Amino acid sequence: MAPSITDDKIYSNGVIKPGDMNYSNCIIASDAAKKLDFLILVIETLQINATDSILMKAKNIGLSVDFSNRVQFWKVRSSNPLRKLYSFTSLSSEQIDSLVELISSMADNLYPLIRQLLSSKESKTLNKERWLLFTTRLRSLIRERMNLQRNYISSLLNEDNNEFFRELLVILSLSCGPGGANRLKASMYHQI
Amino acid sequence: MINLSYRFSQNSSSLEIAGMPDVSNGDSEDTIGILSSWTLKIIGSPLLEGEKEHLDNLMEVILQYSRSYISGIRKTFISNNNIVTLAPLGVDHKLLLKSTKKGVKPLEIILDDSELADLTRCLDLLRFDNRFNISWNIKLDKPFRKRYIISNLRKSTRNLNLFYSLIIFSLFSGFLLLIPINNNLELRDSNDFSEVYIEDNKY
Repeated sequence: MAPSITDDKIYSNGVIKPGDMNYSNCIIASDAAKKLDFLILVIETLQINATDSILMKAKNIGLSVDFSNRVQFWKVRSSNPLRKLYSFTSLSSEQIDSLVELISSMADNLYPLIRQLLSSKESKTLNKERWLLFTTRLRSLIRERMNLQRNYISSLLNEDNNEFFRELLVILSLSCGPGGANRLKASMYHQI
Repeated sequence: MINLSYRFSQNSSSLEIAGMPDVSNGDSEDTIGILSSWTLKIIGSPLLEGEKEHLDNLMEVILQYSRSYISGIRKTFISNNNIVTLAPLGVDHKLLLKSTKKGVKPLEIILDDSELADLTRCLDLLRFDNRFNISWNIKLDKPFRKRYIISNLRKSTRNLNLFYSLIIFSLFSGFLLLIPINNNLELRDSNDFSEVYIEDNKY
């Protein structure tokens, strides 16, 4: 039976701001580092030299020292256990907040491209070509950076398996806009 | 009385809100405090319009659905008074709108992922717009419990490796049990052979 929305309706426009949700009773989801790293990988697939744009954006937003240069940024991303070089560290909630803000902002810029890939109303041939281009580039980035001995990575490199890539694009499309960062952030945590 | 109208457009969706400032609440001239009407145009679908209650229901369902979808959960959401339903339909999403007027058939709109994202963005723009001083009955985007996520994940994404390995183990064990064993086999002492060999060498 489908659930009905009945419990605590607390949002009121102009009263509660986007960042006002209390995360004190929440823990970081175990797959948060993996998901955030893959989302950045998709951004890199859609935009050439995306790392420079991300660092520039981080500077403009005024984010912490973790995003001051490529090395620091790479260190943050190495918390993804599926990478070739995994740093055995976990992301702090501040780092997650910063990454969420960056991803949301970048996804906003790339929204037209993301939308094109997700749309089923456009020409099928064109859509197929776009997907081929997108998946080829994404797979080459995965091959370059991820641990190929992991079964999960091998399955991503399988030509028939585009489900996870589509999932990532959906996440990016729903992370855009004023409420997107909030939505993405909520998906990176679990309630205790 | 000042009538105001604001439009939020996102590719396939265009939401227009009309209303007026609530002077008794101290709203400025460009703020909508009382919503008089709204229209939503989704490309390829009829024009939707209604009162605040209907918009509340629509926002409630779309935003809750998107919140779940971003966590990988695809499940049906129904608004409080059952007038708006959003359910997964293959890779698409089925939006079902029931009219509060009698004799009007429910309207069904199929949205793909891009259209759902457009609609969500439109509604986000509205709820975070400072030019509106209206309370929306929407839940905050809060994290889910891990158990809730696991129980609602699509079957294909569930990790069933342990389950499969147990099945393979029990089948293999059962197969081994079926192999007949000769319980009457007599084990002969190997020393007997050596003795015979030694005796043979005497000649």
